[in-house]
Amino acid sequence: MSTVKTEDGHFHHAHHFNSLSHQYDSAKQGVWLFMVTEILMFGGLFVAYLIYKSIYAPIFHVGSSYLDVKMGSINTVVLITSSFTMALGIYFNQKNKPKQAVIALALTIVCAGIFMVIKYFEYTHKIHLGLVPGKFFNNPEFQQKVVDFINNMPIENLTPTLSDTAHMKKIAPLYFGFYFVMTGLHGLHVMIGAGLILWVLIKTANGKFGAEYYTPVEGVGLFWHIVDLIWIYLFPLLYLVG
Amino acid sequence: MELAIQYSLYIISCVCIFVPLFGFGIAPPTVIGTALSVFAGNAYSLIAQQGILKNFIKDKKDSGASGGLIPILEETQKLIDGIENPGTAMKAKSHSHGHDHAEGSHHIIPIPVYVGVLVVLLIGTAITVEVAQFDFGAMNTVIAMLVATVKASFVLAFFMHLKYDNMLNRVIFGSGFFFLMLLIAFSVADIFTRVPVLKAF
Repeated sequence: MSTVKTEDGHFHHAHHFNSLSHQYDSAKQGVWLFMVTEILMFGGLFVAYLIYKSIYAPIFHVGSSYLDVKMGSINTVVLITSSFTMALGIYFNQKNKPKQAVIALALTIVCAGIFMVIKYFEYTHKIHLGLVPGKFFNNPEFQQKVVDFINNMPIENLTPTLSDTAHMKKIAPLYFGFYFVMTGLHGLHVMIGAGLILWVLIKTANGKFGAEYYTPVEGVGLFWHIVDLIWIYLFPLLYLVG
Repeated sequence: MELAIQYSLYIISCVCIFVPLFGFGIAPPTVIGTALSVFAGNAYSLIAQQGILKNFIKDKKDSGASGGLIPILEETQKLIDGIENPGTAMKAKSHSHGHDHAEGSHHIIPIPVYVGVLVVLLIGTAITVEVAQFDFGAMNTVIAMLVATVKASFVLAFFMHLKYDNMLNRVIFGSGFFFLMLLIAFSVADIFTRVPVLKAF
């Protein structure tokens, strides 16, 4: 990074910027543009979810009953809390309190760890039951439940696609395709985010940041909040709305 | 770099005006309206928040120019100052070096506000989980998405400081959601007119 701390404790901006605040605004604008690409990337998945749910709603209904709402809720609370501690991490950097900032950032990483551990238990449970996407799917009970659900529906609500039992059995793993891709991509973001937070934590501990210059903390914070934001939508869509 | 980013936004806006006009012809007024408001918001943020007009007037005056458009521009600048910070428009002159003063003094949100947002988010989560236990039919999805959107707005406004951020970042992020809306609108229009869709269980 081109911002350096001099002996007198002040930060100097890179030569191609007018001032520190100019540099801060430019860097932050770049992070916001990156956030737009994140929204659009997950947005594509959400649109795919919307389309397939409107065509194959029974699969999604039965599928969401296989997810553990309790684990999902705990993960939501954990992520929201981590967002809060991240905001505190930025706050304490703004207030020139590196010790408290390090504690807040460390708590954020701990929350990320808890999130991934819970995710691990959920994933291994699903894999154990054979509830995985594509050709690896091996759970006839799930397929039968989908077919039973469709058979119990009022006949006037059925579409030609849903009445085709063989097709519905074949396409039943679709829900777990969505589940693993969406939560997997999100989990990847959580891990990358935790790594980035570790990076700013080390720099904070080394006294590289202060009220004058904390741009990387702010940028990583924005990334972390986007991760939280996506989970806020992902949780009800996958776990609750069946 | 800043300029390149701003022009890229203009180009994107132009594209989203012309695509529906020449390509599909579906609801162009809505799309054009939104694109134009993005345009206007961006231009306004340039003038109002980054003091481009102010600097332009100053440059012209420094180089000895007067008359012509200068008085009109000065009136416009006063009007913008009036909108941006009512009551302090008179002090505008002492703020002509606003950017230098602002160095290192970003708006700091106090901890109680963060705690309040955390409480709101936790309550929102509780509501989402509780509501899902009951069967409101199609309303379940609507309620879940509404609560999620309220939670997301709180995260954006306070945790991500967007409430106190400059206009350009808001416009940039808003444009992301705008393109997402475009994607959803065309996809829904396609699927719902072509494939038999399940409306109720």
